[in-house]
Amino acid sequence: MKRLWWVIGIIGLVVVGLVVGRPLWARDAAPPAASLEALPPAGSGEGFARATEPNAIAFPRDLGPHDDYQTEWWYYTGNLQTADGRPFGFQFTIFRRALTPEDVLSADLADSADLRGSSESAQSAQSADQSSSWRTEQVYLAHFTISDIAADAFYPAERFSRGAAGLAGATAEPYRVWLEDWSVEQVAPGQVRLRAQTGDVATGNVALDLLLTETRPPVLHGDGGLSQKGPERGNASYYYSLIGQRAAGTVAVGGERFDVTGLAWKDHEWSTSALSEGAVGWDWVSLQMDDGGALMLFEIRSGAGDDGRGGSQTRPYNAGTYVAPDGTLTHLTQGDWTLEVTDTWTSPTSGGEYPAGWRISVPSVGLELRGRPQMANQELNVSTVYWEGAVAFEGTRDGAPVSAEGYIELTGYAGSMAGRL
Amino acid sequence: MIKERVREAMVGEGAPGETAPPVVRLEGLCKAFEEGGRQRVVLDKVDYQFDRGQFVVLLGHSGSGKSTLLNLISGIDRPSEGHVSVLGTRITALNERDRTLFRRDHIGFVFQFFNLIPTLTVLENVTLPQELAGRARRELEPTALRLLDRVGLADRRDAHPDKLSGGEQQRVAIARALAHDPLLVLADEPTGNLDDETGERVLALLLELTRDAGRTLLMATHNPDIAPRADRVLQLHDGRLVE
Amino acid sequence: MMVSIDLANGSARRAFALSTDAITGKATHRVAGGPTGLDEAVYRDIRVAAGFSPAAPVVEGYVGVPELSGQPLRLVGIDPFAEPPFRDYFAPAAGGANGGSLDASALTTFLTEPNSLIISADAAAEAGIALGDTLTVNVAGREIAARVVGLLRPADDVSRRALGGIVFTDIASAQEMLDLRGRLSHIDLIADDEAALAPIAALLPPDASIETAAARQNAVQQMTAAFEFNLSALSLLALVVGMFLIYNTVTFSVIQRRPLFAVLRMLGATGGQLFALILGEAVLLALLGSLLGLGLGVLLGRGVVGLITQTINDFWFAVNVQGVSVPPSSLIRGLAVGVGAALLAAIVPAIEAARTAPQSTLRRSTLESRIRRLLPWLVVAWAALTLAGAALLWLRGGGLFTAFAGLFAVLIAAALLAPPLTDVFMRLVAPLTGRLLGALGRLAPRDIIRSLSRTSIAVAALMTAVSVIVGVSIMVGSFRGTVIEWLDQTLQADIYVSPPNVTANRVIGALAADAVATARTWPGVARAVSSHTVQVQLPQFGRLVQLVAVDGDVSNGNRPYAWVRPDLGDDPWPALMAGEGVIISEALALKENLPTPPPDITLPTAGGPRDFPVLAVFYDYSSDQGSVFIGDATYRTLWDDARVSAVGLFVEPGQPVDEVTAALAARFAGRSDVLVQSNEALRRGSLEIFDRTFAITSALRLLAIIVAFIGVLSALLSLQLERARELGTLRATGMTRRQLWGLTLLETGLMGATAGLMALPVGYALAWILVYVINVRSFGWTLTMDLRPEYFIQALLVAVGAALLAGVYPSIRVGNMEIASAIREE
Repeated sequence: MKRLWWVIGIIGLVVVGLVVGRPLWARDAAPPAASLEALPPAGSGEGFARATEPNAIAFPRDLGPHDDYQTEWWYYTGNLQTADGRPFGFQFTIFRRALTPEDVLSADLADSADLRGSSESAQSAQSADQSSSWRTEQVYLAHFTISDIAADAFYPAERFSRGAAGLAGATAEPYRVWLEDWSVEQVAPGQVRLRAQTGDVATGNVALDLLLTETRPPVLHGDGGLSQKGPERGNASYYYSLIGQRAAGTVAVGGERFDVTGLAWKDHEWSTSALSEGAVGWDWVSLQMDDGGALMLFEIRSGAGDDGRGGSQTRPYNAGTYVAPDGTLTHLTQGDWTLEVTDTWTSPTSGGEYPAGWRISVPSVGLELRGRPQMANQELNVSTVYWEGAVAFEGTRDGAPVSAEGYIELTGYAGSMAGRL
Repeated sequence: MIKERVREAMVGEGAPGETAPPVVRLEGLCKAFEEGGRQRVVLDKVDYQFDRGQFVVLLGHSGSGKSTLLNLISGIDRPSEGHVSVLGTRITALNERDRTLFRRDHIGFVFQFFNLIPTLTVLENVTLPQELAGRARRELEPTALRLLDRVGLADRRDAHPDKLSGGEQQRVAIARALAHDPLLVLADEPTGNLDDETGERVLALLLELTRDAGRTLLMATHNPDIAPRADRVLQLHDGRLVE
Repeated sequence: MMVSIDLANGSARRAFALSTDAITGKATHRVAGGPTGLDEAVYRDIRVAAGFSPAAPVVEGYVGVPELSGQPLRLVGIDPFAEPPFRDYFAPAAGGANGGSLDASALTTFLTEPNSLIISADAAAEAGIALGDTLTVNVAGREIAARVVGLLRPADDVSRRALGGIVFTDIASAQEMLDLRGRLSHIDLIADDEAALAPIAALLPPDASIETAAARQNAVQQMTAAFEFNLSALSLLALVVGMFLIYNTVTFSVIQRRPLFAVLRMLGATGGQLFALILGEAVLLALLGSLLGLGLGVLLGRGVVGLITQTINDFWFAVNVQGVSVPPSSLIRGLAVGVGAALLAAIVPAIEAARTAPQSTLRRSTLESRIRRLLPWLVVAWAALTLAGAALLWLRGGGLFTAFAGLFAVLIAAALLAPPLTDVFMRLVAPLTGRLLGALGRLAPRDIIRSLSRTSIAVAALMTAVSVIVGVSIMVGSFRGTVIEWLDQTLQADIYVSPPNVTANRVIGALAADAVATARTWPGVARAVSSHTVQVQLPQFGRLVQLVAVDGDVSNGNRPYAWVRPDLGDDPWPALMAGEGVIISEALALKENLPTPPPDITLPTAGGPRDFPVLAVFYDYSSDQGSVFIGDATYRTLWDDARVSAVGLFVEPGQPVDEVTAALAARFAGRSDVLVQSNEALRRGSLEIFDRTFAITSALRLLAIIVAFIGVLSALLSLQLERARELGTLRATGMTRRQLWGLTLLETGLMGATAGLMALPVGYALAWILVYVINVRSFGWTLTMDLRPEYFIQALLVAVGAALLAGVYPSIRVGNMEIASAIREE
């Protein structure tokens, strides 16, 4: 799931969202290109830590934030249904982005204290407790969507905050990631409560309140959690997933509240790196199969992104992970699979033409799957326009039929991501 | 004062006529007005002189320049060309202030519309010119009262002009014109604003107080009926004076 | 003039409203805290616990930025992430590709670089400031370097102007710069109804409350309402005098053309047609004049707006007026008032013209006799109107409006009295001048009486103007005297230590703790008293007042009181120090119409509202909003605020005050956040502000004079036209030019003297009303009336001088008239 590059972009766009100044949940799709071009290069990560070491991830420490890395996110997706089978999907993501390295900040503070040079106040201004609790380099962004598949209704929402003054942040022990009242927090060992709601007038109250219970150990992607994104050392992320989490709770949409259960998938990834030159977007796939297996794939598209075809021009750092029902990990690299688009859907709002049907073949683990979005319009028209939605697949593993649900993310179809990054 | 000197020159024991200057001498007097962008010549090289004690009637139709001539003689107006001498003084050579002083001392003026000062009483109107000359009112009052008595208005001395009839007003005006005992009295249509009977009485009074006292009276009028009583009758015609 | 005041007032009000709007944005409500603001945790709770999204924290304060503006600016700390629903200034300018506009990197810097500012591009351009420049932000004397990282270019003009007085910074920088760490000034909220705010109300600490944005703005704007009303009333005064002027002018034009009207009448024009003709002319001329006046008003407004802004800044709140805004409503109002007044003033002359008989010789005397018959009635009208005015003034609890109505009633009544009084005065003076000056002396007063309908109007105009001068002079003089005496009594400490103020009269910020300690223990100092001034809103009245925490009486017992609770004797301070209650200012008592003894005052403490008994009411001329003194210990306990805004030091007897002051000043030399002032300097500074405040009144005085001068001039000119034949006769019968000048000047001098003499009692009455009614109702200040002969002498001189000056041109004119034509006319 190499959303990494574009997420870097998204967090950069936090700032853009402010620049544009449009209200939250705005449906206006036109990106303010002129301002975007002035974004500071997202990957100029000098002064930040870089992901370089395999097997460096440790729990519970790494559940929390890594402020010395430029970019980080906690990414929850899941497929839910009511007792009588009404399906829902959700995405709940909190992104973190450091605008400048922490040590640069403190140097700045010291420089610009008191002009006057009166010894007393100059000294006092330098002392740490003199800085405001709002002072921070960390910016948080959250995306929250509910897909009401039966009603063919999609509710995306977006929020920004600074990672300070208790407004947004993350802690490892106890595990908690929050942006205002959108939060994921540990309520018991191996169990977290995920809550988010929007009070948007247009869509009515949309709320999610779930208990997620871990059932399987963390999956460390790449080389012991070190997921390489480019040829250069350090152009990589630390990346783990918690798959197969049992979800139970409520979804509220359109004035109704539904008790739901289902399966959720959490990604947590942090890094300091740049999107490779020429990339226009990426596709990311996460599937959880009814036989207990799970599949994660990401493909970075480059060149003319308009062809909507993922397979032909992927980059060498595409990768994936297959988790067998028994927990065995199979790391997949370029050429281990084929991802073929069998259908497309054109967004009426953004005009982007997205893949809307896939055939996935992973011969090395005997997997053959065909699938579609559970509903067509799961496009987020927020500060960045992308498609992220619930999908359902059918197929075979080693000849035995399997079905799967999961989430697919498609970026760079409504305007190239490259221009923004 | 000039007045005494002049008077001496006029009425002194010395032989009259040749030695005394005429009361009024006009030399090459011209007066032209701008009218509608054109020059209108009212007086054209008028040469004339009036002697002491004469009653001169100046006839002419309306607008012929009678009033202009009187104004020139009194120094109220200035000629375009030529000179006016009054009692031997060339007033056209005097400045405005001296002309005013000369007029105040030597000339009496009677107007068609009486022109009494409405805020002053009858008596005050009579004494005004001499008061303006700086004389104390008290010393002026006996003469003024005498004059008012002569014009028959002594009992109205404290009335204001607007309480008087037109004839009465003109009689006050005559008294005022004579209060400082001028040798020359100019009257511009003094009866023009009065009915015939009143006009006749005013005229009689005026003649009695001027010619009979040896003053020169120059009266502008368009009423030819007055002419027979004059010593001289002049006609102003096309800017020229003719007898 | 009216327009200019209206504009200047409007501009100041609008500038304030705009900057308030700029801050308030689309907020419907706000959470406000106590004197030290709000705990920032409140905002976190609103966002995180209550999940209320449309909320934005604001940390603001007034600062000086010398590079940008001489006026104080509003430093507004915002959280850009919370901003979009509230304020949309951070949107790029329409049309996009301008390099200087806010871009993403600017906002990144804004967030990450301490003390980075975003200011309006216009203000920056005006001050010659470029992106990236470093400015000096002066916060209560501390100078902080701050870099301009963004320039705002709002698309619409309104926002552009609004932003002129605002400097944006990140909320973190604002807390640091304003020394408000952990605190918020307020939190803006957007809510459709109160119900939506219920969850927020539930989690607020006791000292915080939710109020509507409008209520707040009202509370602040109410502060200057009285001031603005006063100014408007003064401009109305100019209009009244102006009406006399119009009357005279129209009369002049009617008289001038009387022969023409006579001819028109002969040709069959009806009186009504002439009436309409004159009114039509008046409307046309008024339109022209008003348009001209509007132009002038706009120009004048630019000058006046500075004065008004200065005053508002001195006394109430910082407002930054970027030029004069000229709203059409203001112009239309000016135009309407101008034309309306002209029409009103033109009615009498129009009637006069309408009655022009074909044979017009006797016109004047009939008009004058009518006036004469009117004289007794004018006296009756005067008495009635004066009584009505007195009744209006007497009306207990009547507002400022009735007070001004009363003032105008008295003034207009006095104007009505002008004709009969002129008449009487001239009759009295005539024998005297007659004796002294002979014929001229008799003529002059009689001429005035005879033309009473002209002369008395001029007298009335001049009288009105001069009495306004007298009234205002006495008022200002009394005010000044009272303030001086009050300062003498109140400022007893020898040395004052405070932070330098960005604005003149209000204490902003606090003194550094070390400076307080140093000053208190300085050698030679016998006693120190500290005070801390904060602004609080009284829930009882919704009024913003100064809450002053004091630990001793800076007046050393000399302070005068309007009322002291009887059981406390002369000195309420022991009880105050013991925390038994509060002392309130007279302004608060008067403005809220509090009875004697005053009821308990409710103060919003950190622990919620609490009632305090009132121990005494003291005189306070430093604030018209009201002040509340509270014992230092009580304040510290109930508000949890340790700051001190000023310290007064009493030097030990025998110690040289100058040397102690100098030594203390030397100790703080180089520290721009501490100001050491001697008693003398502080007093001088206070009086400077006072004089600056009343600077605008001198402009008004001058204006009144000019208007009156023109009034006399035009009255004289029309008089002369009417009297041309009479004057011609005078000249023909031997009046010299000089004598004629003398006559004219004597007449104007007499008129001036009449006006001046009348203006004395009327001016006194005005002063009385201003001092004892208007001032008390506007500002809540009781002043001691200070009558000095020079005010009256000055008034008399001004009246006679203005009249004589006005007579110069007419007398020259009359001297040069053509006697010949003058006699013949009519």
